[in-house]
Amino acid sequence: MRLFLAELLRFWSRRMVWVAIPVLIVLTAATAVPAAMLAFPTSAADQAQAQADYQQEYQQWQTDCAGPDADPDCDLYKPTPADFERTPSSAADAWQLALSLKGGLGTLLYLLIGVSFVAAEFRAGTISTWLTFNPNRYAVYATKLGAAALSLGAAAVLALAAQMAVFVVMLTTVGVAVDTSGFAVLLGWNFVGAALLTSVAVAIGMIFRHTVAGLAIAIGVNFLEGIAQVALMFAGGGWSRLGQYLPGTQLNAVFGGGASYVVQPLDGAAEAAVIPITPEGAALYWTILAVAFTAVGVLSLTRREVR
Amino acid sequence: MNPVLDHELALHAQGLSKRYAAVQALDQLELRVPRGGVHAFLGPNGSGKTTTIRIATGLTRADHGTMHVFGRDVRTELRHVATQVGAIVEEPKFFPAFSGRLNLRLLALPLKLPDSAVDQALEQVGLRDRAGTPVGGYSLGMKQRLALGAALLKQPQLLIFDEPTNGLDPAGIQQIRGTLRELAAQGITILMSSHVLGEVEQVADTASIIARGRLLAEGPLRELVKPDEGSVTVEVPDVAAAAAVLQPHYLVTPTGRNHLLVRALPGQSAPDPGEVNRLLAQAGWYASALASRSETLEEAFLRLTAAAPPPTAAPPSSAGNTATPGEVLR
Repeated sequence: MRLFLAELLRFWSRRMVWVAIPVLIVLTAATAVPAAMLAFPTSAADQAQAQADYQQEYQQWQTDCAGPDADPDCDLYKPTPADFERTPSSAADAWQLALSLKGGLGTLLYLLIGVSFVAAEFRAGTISTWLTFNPNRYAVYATKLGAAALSLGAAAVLALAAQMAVFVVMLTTVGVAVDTSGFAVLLGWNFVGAALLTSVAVAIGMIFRHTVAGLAIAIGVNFLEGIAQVALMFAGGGWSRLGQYLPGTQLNAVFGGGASYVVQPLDGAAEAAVIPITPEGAALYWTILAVAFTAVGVLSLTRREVR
Repeated sequence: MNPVLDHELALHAQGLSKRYAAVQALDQLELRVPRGGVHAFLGPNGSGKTTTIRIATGLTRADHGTMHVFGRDVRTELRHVATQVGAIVEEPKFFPAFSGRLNLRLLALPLKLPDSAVDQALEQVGLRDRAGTPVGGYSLGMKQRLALGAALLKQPQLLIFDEPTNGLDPAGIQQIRGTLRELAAQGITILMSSHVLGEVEQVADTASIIARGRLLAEGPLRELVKPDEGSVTVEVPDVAAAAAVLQPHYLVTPTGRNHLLVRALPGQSAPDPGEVNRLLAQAGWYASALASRSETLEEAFLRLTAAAPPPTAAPPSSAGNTATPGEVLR
């Protein structure tokens, strides 16, 4: 327990953590603002502005369409008041938009912090000092992993909670009800997603022992995933469905509390197929990935020389 | 060295071997560090000192042989051994962005030590005033002292210090030397590896000299130095003429405009100042000063390492900084 507390203290003493996590929380919360504004009801001022815009456009149309040289299809362009009235989105649709704006905002950060938390120790050489104080390398690995996963899981929850809070406060202030029944579960999935991603990041840091090398691998994998996605789509048939099993797609499903994978045939002959990905299935996929990476990471710490 | 019983040893390595790819770092090394006092661990670069220290601290595993610390096997009882050993392996390593205090707090937390223990350690090494400064801004000497403070947190029975005065200014060297002696006086066994043999002579009680991963000699410092390997320094007005007189009988090296160093030829005993004086006088030369001096630790070190036998295993083809006997002599 003491070892774990020491790792927690070290994690939260890092400057990168103190800068990056508040920035993440603020940025995530900020994505709620434009989404929530789409669900704002129209005000009298909005309606007056829409009416004024309509009048202006209508007068322009009348001028353009008067006389013998007028476009014979002028009637098709005739403006109507509805063209200028804003229809508020439903709160549910606006929330989905907020989530898509948030997207993978945190994922690169969790990866970066997780990798560097471990790699920085190897770079500074402090890992050898640490091991002379705490020679049980399994315990050392477990506490590092635990401290990073717990902290970044909590950061993910905080960021999403901030986004939810901004969204709910903005809409309730203007009298729009928000259904928050799924929020708690979504917070849970975000914790799980960040913790699993951090487990992989810690293992990458332990295996490559260098932040830049670890990140290069992660970015490389992301790049390859993009290529694989396109290649599978072009391969068509059953191949195009395999894209749902790529790690990025699965991770998005964990963070989003589920996702839909759309298989769009290139020839347009058939209709797009929508494949649902459950958060449970995606979490299992990432758990297997995290366990595999952790096993290699543990081997790297216990079997390789530590300088 | 007199036979030392196992329970009188702080550290005991037997038949220790370690190979890194083509490099035989340790080759059946025997090492005995008696309890109490300061024990110097000497050897040329690449001789296996750091590898031995890394094995003693559990950072590296030996291929063959055993290492015991206070009678406990490092391999099987590392957790217990770690509580007894404070070590600074190679250069001091800390998180540069963290303060000295935070670095020590992190190490103290798993040991269930209160913050006051950290302050005490900082006080002990004279860093209390700079404890809040990031370690990245510390001088090498301050880092060495912080490393010593870290090692002392454990209240170790054995303190292993790899090159403790490396990069320190004379004042820093004197301070570390004093601290090591103080700790030894408190009953802590100090094992220090060093290249600065003059430094070792001032602080160590016993020493082990290794080369090519093998033990060459061990024992109290005075026993490692051969009295009959001494030399005579001579001050004469004409160095060339005096050297010509002495050269048939001794190894003669000019060491200054008016000074000669006179040593014994191989297989002969140390030169006698009276005999040197007589030879000069017979040739009509009179020394204005004559002084006999016994072998220094440095000379003993060079003599022993130069005579080190070749390794039994394949010689290292890429042993970057492994000194050969020839290199040591030059």
